[in-house]
Amino acid sequence: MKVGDLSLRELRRTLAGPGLRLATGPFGCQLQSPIAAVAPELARLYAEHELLDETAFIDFYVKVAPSSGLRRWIRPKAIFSVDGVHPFTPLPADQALPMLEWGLNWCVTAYCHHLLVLHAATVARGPHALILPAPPGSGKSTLCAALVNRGWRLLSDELTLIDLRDGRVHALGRPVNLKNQSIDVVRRFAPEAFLSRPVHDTTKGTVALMAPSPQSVAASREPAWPRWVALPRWRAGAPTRLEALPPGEAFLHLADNAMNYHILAEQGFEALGRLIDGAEAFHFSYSDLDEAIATFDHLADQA
Amino acid sequence: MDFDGTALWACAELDGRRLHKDVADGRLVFDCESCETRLLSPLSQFLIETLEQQTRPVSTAEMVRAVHVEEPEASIQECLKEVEEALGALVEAGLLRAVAA
Repeated sequence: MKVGDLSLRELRRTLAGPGLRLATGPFGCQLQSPIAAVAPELARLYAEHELLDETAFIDFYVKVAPSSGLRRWIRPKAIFSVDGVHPFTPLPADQALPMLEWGLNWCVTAYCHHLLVLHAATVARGPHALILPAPPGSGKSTLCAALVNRGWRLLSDELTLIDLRDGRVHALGRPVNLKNQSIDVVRRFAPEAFLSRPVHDTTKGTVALMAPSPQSVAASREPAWPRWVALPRWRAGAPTRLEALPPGEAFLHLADNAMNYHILAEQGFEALGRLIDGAEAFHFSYSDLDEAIATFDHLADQA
Repeated sequence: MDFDGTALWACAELDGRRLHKDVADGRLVFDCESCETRLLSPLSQFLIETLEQQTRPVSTAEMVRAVHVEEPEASIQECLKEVEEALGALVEAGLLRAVAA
């Protein structure tokens, strides 16, 4: 049974009550939120996600609840908690849904040291993964969303999970975080994609979430082999350019983008070493999404 | 730092464990204590390997000559400049130490 099989009423009752238990890639999550506005968009964003039964292992018990007292009525706030811990300051209640996503990301980076976690998007064609590590503002999520809407499989738009045993990338298959101008860019590029209502004035600006494609969610338990690493950089009017990046430099970029490299120490060094041994690395500058996709399609066709 | 050609160099005695990985554009060195990763240039990598093969300290001039053998099209002056820069980077990375003559 999937989240989309629940009626909105059932979903609201589950979120407000025992919690929605669902699988996101290798993780079992239990989501709770009595905030009524969360359910309708969550229903669309997670429609294809498999529901877990009561015997399934849950990695993260998370909750986004309204604040109590006066804050319930005047400038209401939402409070995120995981296992009863509140790692963030409360945010305006209309940010409850993005807060849930940011909170789930926080759980992965804070607790999942059995994996090397990179701040990077990853998409795949067949068994081959394309890793897109980049700082905010580089066009990473926009490019990721565009690729996913043209047949690439979404593994993750934000956190790339490298298995320390075999080097494969695990999928998360969760919504893509879009910010500011990229929201309209993706809307125009893929009008058929579901995007949540934009939420303004967050710490990241205006944000919206894009639902992962059904095939991405269906394959979210299938890891992929890192085959390409591309450091994207969007610049207005820039020609599409894919330039080889030497492996040592690529390693340093990946290490800079690794969330738990310093915690994993030798294991992290070895995991990144294996990754660059098996992947070609590039600098990638672009301004036109169609050309960008054609470039990566061409790479994939040659693999 | 004064590189006059007679200075002697040896690999530093490392206080913590280090891992390395050779790649096309040099050598990645990971300090297990600080978790810092450095990318040594191919020339730095060559100098370290030259030092590792010796049981005695090696002078700057010897290293310049070794580099010139590998890069005969470059002038000695060019080799000296590059070696000086690479030695400086290696000292900064804690991988090399000056030895009293």
